[in-house]
Amino acid sequence: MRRVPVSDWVTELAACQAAGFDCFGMIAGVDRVESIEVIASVVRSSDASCELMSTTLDADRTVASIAHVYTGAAWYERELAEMFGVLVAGAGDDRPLLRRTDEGAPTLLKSTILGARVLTPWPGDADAGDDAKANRRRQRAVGVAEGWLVDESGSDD
Amino acid sequence: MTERVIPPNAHSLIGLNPEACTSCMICVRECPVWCIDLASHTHEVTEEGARRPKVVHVLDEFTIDFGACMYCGICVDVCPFDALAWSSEIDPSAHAAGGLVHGIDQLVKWFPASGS
Ligand code: SF4
Ligand code: SF4
Repeated sequence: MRRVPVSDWVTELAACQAAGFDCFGMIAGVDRVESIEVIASVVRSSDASCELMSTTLDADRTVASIAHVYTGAAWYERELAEMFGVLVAGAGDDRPLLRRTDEGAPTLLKSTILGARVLTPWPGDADAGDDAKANRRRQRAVGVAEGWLVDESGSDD
Repeated sequence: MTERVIPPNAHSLIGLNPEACTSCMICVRECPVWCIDLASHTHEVTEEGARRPKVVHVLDEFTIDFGACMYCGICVDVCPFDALAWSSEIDPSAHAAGGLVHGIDQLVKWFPASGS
């Protein structure tokens, strides 16, 4: 994976296209907690080789759109905006992708509390055997961060 | 016409061997999409010569919702008793939401005869 400064994002990907990487693969966001990383993959159809490129966004969480270089990137840039709260500068299409509105926190940020994970009963919240339930210790599900569940006594555990 | 053959090691579905399952809940808790559910009860068995009866778990219900399952295989990997295994059967379709929730009766048929 090649790491490039965010200021070179468009020129680096345009250089990939000039080097024969004619197919767009995908763009993914990664919440590294201290920053957002953006990864793109492009493929050269002649020899099926793949180039992976990554950039770390500054605190303004902005990246320039590459949709004018690779048209297919537009969909993934909408995803970046919606799920990671990334500002895609120069994106032609900023309609929400899966969410019906753009209200609420970006879904894939680790800091976002996922309402469904709190409200849906967790199938793992029971002990093996019905009669063992009385003295069980409450467990927290995978994907539910500390502090999301507050029981009546006000403690998380 | 080209014959399309599903490789025998394809990861198409997950089968359950209820005889091997101890209702330990590990798969239920590790499944990232919460699509496994089980119910069990405890039962005391007194073995001849034993000083105290031993408590065994009896599996009552076990369901996997293949409409939500993302085929990550974590449940197959974490089961300490090899009670879950990949099956290469073609996954069925359904006409309504919830139609891909399959219980023990169906899951046992998908458990491969020789284990995973
Ligand atoms: S394969 Fe993954 S998603 Fe599907 S039931 Fe197993 S753990 Fe859950
Ligand atoms: S991890 Fe295995 S033994 Fe435990 S409940 Fe799941 S299937 Fe049964």
